[in-house]
Amino acid sequence: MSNIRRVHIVEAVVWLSIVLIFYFFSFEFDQEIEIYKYGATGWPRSILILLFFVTLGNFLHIHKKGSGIQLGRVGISDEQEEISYDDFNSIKKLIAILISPLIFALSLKPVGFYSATPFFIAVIIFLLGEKRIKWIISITLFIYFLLILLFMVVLNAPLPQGNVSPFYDFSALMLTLNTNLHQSLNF
Amino acid sequence: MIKNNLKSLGRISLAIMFIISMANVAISFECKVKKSSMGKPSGFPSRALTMIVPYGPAGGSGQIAAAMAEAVTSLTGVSINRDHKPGGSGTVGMTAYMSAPSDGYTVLEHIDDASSAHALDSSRPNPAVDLIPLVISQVTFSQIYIRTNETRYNDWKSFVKWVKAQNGKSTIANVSKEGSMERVTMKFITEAAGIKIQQISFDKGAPRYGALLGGQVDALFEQPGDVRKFLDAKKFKPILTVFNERPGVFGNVPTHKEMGMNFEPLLRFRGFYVHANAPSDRVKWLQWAFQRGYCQNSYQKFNESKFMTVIDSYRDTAGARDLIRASIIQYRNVYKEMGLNVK
Amino acid sequence: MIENFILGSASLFGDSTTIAIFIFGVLGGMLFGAIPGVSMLTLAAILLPFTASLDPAQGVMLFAVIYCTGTYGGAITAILFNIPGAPENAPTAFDGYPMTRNGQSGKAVGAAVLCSAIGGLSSAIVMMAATEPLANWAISNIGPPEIFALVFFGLAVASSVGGRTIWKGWMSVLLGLIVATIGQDPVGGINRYNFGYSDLAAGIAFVPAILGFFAVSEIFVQAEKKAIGKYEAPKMSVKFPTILELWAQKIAVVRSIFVGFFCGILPGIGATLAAFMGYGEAVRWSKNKESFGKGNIEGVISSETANNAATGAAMIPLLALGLPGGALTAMMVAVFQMHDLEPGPMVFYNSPELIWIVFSAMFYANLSILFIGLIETKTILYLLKIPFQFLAPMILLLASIGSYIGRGLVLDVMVMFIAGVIGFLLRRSGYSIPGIVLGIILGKIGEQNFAQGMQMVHYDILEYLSRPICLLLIVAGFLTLLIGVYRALSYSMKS
Repeated sequence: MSNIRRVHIVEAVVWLSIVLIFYFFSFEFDQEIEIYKYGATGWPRSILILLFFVTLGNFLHIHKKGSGIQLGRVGISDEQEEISYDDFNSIKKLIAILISPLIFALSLKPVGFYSATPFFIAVIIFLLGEKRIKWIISITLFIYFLLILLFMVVLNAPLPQGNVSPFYDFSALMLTLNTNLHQSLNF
Repeated sequence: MIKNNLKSLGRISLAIMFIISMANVAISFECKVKKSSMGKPSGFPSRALTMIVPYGPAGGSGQIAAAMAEAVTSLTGVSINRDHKPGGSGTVGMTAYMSAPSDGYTVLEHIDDASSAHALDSSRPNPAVDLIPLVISQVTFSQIYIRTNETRYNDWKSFVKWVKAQNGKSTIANVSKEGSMERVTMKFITEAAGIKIQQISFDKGAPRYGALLGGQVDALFEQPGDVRKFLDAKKFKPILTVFNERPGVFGNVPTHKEMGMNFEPLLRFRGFYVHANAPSDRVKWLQWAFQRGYCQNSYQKFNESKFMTVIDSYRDTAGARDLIRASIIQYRNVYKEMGLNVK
Repeated sequence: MIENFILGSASLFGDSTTIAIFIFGVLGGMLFGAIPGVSMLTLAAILLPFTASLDPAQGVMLFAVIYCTGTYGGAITAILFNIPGAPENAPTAFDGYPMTRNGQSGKAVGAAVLCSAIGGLSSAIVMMAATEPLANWAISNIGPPEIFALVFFGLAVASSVGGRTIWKGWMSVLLGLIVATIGQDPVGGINRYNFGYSDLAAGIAFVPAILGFFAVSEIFVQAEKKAIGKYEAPKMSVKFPTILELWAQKIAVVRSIFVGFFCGILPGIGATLAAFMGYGEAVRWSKNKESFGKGNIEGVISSETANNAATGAAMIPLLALGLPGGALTAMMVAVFQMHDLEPGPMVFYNSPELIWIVFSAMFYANLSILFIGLIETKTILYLLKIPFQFLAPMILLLASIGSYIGRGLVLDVMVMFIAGVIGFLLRRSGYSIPGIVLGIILGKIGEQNFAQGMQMVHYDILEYLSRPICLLLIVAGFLTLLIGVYRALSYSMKS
């Protein structure tokens, strides 16, 4: 009797498409290397072929024996509790939490760390359920200044400055203030 | 000895002329920038400069960036934050630099790889056109090394003989990238000497040197500054210099031309750049700061420790542009000969 | 040796600046290791430019001390938050985090403190005695073919212990390996899988991957619970383990010291593999295999002893040969070079006092884990009291800075958050997240050494296997693999 459920088929399809996509794109760099017999594609293609067979093995394993935990396995959480969503709102909230860091990361190049960070902090605090405006603002400022103090003032870490006006100008202003501060303190 | 070497410099090709004409100067060091101070053009720089370094902090580029930053800071009092962006053989750092604002606050360290990358694909920035070279402060040549306690061969001639007897089964450690200065030079050597040798690519220095030290490979292709500790410890010895002259300290090592290999040597050079469209008064100040930085004692000491004073290592903006242009032409010709797809 | 050690200690404690730097390193390493989101690597990368103003012995000593205490500090976040501070702390979370959930965080942390100190101290002692001879042995006996064989064995071990079944274990490792092929190939520098995005030529670094898979995905898991109103603040306990409980684990400790030291000595692999192997061996020899992953203190002990035992060992190839074993030791090379020094055989002749200041500092750093570690841990435990909605943005930002600083690429911040989302989605599916991370870490090293090894033996498998260490490790790897497959096939009979 088969233990295959729809989720297992979807899982197998996802893995096989990873194999296919990567195999397909390997033709883009399928060029010889003068000093190396296996070229640039030898290693990735071998891994993909292995991955193909292991995916099939996994599928057959589930088909025959189900998807339980094999004895003697470690490093996986036992946590089988099903997370269930009662309302559409919490799904929306979760998606927002997953996406906002990606938007923050995308904004770092044009906007820079100094301008993007306070907005990001406030958004995350809000999404995690804090509704008191005063708290959101004060904790945002607290975290922002703590980070600026540690990484800019004390450690002089090169953080992304952005390359679009007026954000870049704001970063430049922050760094100039930092230089003046260091000079006046004789740091 | 040095004088004898310098006398014969006239024989070499146009591409190499610059290095040699400067070599006279290098050997008795004299600072080419007379002004020991310069006023800041309308307050520039009012904050720390950022130096993008397209390689990690430990390698040759990381070290020269650190040494130059220290020299410029001690000269001007302006601090320089080094921002290492390694990856893609220098292309990632270059891309990041080209998208940074061109207000003069961000400068770039780069090596000859930028020139060869442009030679292969002209959509990549041309360091002589899209950037202004502030200074090139290291120019060096390559050598082939063996272990000092090697018993199977002890000089270039016996090495070639031994390699031929191995029928393609001998090995030499080298750098990875296709079309790189290292690989092109090795191609010249193997063709000119008529040998077949397996090149083994190591993209990091330490394992590359470890491979020769531990006897995993038979020889090593490298520049002298990078293996100085092994030379000083008498662990490695050079058997061939890829340069048109015997540099003084390697007076007993034959050059490739003396060994009958007739090709123009490719050089490794490292320097500092700023965006071509940066404000010109700021560029002038930066040129002064970096060219004068080269003269600082700390920097000269650093260059000496890297064998960078055995041939002339200094190019100002004009000299750097000449060197870069000549290199691009030379690489482009070589790539075409090799059948690479030159864009 | 003892004479040198005393001289080194005297110079270490004879100068007030040096003492201050030592204390800064001890506390900074522990703190950055123990703050979720950043790690000792973040601190080291930021401090690198500043070491130019220190004298060479102080600079190298600072990094060595951060290495020792940071490796320990990373265990704290692994145990308390399921966020390993560094790759080498990943296996510590396997059992450490379940212990926190069972209300035994104090026990786990206490075991980590003691075992980190024991592992570190014993490795420091061997390091002092054996650096020169061991380095010379390794350099001529361990080349790329052997390193590839070791990577193969390490991956075989990782895939046969992690994940719900051996298939999922291997799928995880292979996914990590394929991700590691993004960027330039290690032989020809040819761009692979950059999908038109030029920064991908730099490849996927392991620091953002580990921060994403562990730190960010953990935040997402908690955030999800918060979103559906199921969030429970982690339980705090400051009850440390008893002497008797620890004494019962003496064999695990000794075994992990050997495993950790052996792995740590090999250039390029170091402490991460040490921790995985230490953990894997603990499972292999245990009579009670099922209890691992559910809060078995032996898991914490094996992993933490092994990774700290690797710290001293990693200094051997670094100091004697100039060959760094990992990210932090590579930064130490930069510290040397900033001072016109090169780590390598000559250091022993030119600046023996530097070597012995560093050696004795590492000894005392490990010793101070024992004393300061416990006090600091009690403070860190209070982090658990900060409301989650305020702690989360802090951790996310620290992790962003931590992944950005290493290579200065915004790409790395993107990679971290994407890894966070993937890790979040894969959590409950039975794949092994540490397996993916190990695949990413070892993929590049594996491919490079495979290529070099094949070039060296001229693509002749027999010649490859005629190298005894290769033969041994490859056979061991295949045995591990076959046993895993056999177990997977026979497991239906048991259930």
